Amino acid sequence: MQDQQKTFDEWMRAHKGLLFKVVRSYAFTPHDREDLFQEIATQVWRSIPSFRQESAVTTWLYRVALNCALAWSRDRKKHPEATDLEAMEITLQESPEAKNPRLEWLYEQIAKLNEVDRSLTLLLLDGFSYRDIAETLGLSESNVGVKLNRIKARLMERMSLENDREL
Amino acid sequence: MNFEDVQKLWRSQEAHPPFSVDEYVLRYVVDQRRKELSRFFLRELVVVYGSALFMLGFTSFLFLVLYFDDDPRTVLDFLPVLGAAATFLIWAIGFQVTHARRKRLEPSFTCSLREAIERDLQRIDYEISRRTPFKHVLMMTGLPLVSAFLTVVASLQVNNMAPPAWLVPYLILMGVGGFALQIRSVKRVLARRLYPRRQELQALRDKLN
Repeated sequence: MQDQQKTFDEWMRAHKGLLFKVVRSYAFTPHDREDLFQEIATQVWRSIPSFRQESAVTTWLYRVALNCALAWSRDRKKHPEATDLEAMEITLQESPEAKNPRLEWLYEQIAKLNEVDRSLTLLLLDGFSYRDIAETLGLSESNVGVKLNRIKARLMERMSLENDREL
Repeated sequence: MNFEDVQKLWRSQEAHPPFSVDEYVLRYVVDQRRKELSRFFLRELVVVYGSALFMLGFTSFLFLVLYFDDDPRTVLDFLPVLGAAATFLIWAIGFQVTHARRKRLEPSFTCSLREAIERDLQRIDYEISRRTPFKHVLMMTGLPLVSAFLTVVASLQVNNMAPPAWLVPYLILMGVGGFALQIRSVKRVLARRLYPRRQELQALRDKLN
């Protein structure tokens, strides 16, 4: 139990950025972000005993976080009623200086994708190999390649449109 | 801006995370959520095992009273009390089997997304299969009702009383009402929750293909 707590604390400190990315891509209000982050943290805690060190911690954490985010999104659609944010325990504090308009735009584009493509995009942007992505999502490597090329092309197309607009 | 720039921008979040975490509160929240889950499972087990123990205790008491009764008793006199215990036990065992099966099919967050979806689909299919109206209603309403009826009959026997005339029609009415309500509730759960959920999961799996 103490080891589990120690591992949890270490992972939370070292990889919280990874979890934030998943949270921001699947939850769009402060309440939902808080709820999803707490849900992912709980699932990470519960899943620690089943970590077999067969994959990198980041790959494994992505797997837990993405599965959890997708399950959470499905539940959210079914039960959209939310408790008041004030009634929740607050674990996340937003840093205003971290706001970057380009990043905000990127998150907007990610939010427009379907759930599976969203997961693929997060893993792609974080530089995971096709093999890791295929294992995390349960796809074949060739399928990952096809999907990622399509996503990349769409993203670049939108980006050039955005650049044109800025000019 | 090319794709490498996008990746750099994406990774810049590590250096300037958009949030900070209150570790103390997070520990507390995770602990609370874990406890809530354990409490839920414990409550379920206490209800089933507690009521099963109570029923077994009560029917054993009735059995012993009948057994040591001064009046001569035939095998037929013991049938209601044995029937009450047996039907309740069958219900409790059925509940326990369902509970164990559900636990086995509990969603896992450590496998690949496809495996998680397949597992979730298996869970939904299992929930649908055990809600084929007759089987489910028989299990959830029929057995406890039969058990309750037989317990009442056995209690009356202990006191050498005949069941009042209104008892049988009353129990039939209760049974029919209970069955109707249960069937309605099962149909609602299937239509509003389980079938849409299955469709949603199948759509998600299709997106993976």
